[in-house]
Amino acid sequence: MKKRMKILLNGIFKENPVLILALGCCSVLAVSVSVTGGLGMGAALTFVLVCSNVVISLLRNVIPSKVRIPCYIVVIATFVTLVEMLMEAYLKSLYDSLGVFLSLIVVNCIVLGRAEMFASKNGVVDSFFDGLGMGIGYTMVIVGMSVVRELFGAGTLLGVRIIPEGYQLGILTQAPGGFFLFGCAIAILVAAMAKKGKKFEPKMGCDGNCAACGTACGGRKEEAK
Amino acid sequence: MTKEVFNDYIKPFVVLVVICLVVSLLLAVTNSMTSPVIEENARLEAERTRQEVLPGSTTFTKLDVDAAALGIEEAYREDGGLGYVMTAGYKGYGGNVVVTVGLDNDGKVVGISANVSSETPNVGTKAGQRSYLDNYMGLTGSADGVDTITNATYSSTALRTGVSAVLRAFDTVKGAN
Repeated sequence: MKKRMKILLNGIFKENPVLILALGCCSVLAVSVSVTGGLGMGAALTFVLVCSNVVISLLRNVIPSKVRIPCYIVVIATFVTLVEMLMEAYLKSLYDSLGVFLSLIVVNCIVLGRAEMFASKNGVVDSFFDGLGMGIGYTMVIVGMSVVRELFGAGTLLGVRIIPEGYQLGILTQAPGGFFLFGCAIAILVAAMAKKGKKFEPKMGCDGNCAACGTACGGRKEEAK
Repeated sequence: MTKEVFNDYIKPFVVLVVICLVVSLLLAVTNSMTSPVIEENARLEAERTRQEVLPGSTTFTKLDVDAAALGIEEAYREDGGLGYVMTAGYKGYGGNVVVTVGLDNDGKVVGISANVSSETPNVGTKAGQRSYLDNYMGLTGSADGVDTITNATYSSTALRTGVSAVLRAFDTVKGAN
């Protein structure tokens, strides 16, 4: 159980998909203008991530490595389409506010990244927790950023006016404000980790460091040919 | 056939096909469950928009007009004789800008609503804001006198073209059953 907890927390802090791995930034920057949108996007992505991780982990011994990417994309696209149809039917206003970014979860690098890096090499339960942790990590970042952007950029929170009209930093709702805040969020997380004495070593996937990795290429023998 | 040929060429093919078949089935089931709800939502939404643009209206009857020739999408007559509601969609920057216009019996614009969800947020969507739409209120005959929005030219031009088409179509629609 301790190991599972570690996998879960890994996605939230140490390998936070957005702030440390810098994946899926596009949707974070675009959707974090409103808290409702941020929550909806976070929930949708977490659902897709958990489901696709579980299914890909179940199929990891069946899928030949030659066609693994098409298989992952098909599985991921299925869950995204499911979420899309259900959301359009039952949560129309959220569906409208997420717009094209909902469909774009298909090509969100976090989902494909976790399928390739984790789910295809680990058991079902571990993959479930990895998906959940990564999803929570993503949701925390997007909600955190959207709280700041909506509160100071538009003066509202969940659509309720908090700061009177005329005292807003309009730039926060625009793209430059998003980038600025994104940079600040990364800096805060890195500083917090440095304070705890943890050395900050961003890793791009496995970094090609085969010596440090016992499992990665075990099932990929035919690629080496 | 050797085992190697099977593993290299046949198995990947079979696995991918099976996965695709299974998910197609899954999606077909979900679609059959959700599509009636989605259509019902769209219908209610359209009805709400019609009621919104024609104050005091309740129910509508769809008119049988040659919409394509008139450059509009749909035309409705209010059942209580309050006026008409027409929709028209023209290409903006990202997709169609669909405008719903309420007209009284003299062909005067009494209400207008626009769907600009396919336009660029905070840029093209300005064309759908109340402050801009109000410029069209009270117009008859032509919408050419209304200015488009600087830096949202595509979106606002599409909107104006839609309103113009509706105003031009008014006489034909009024004569129709």
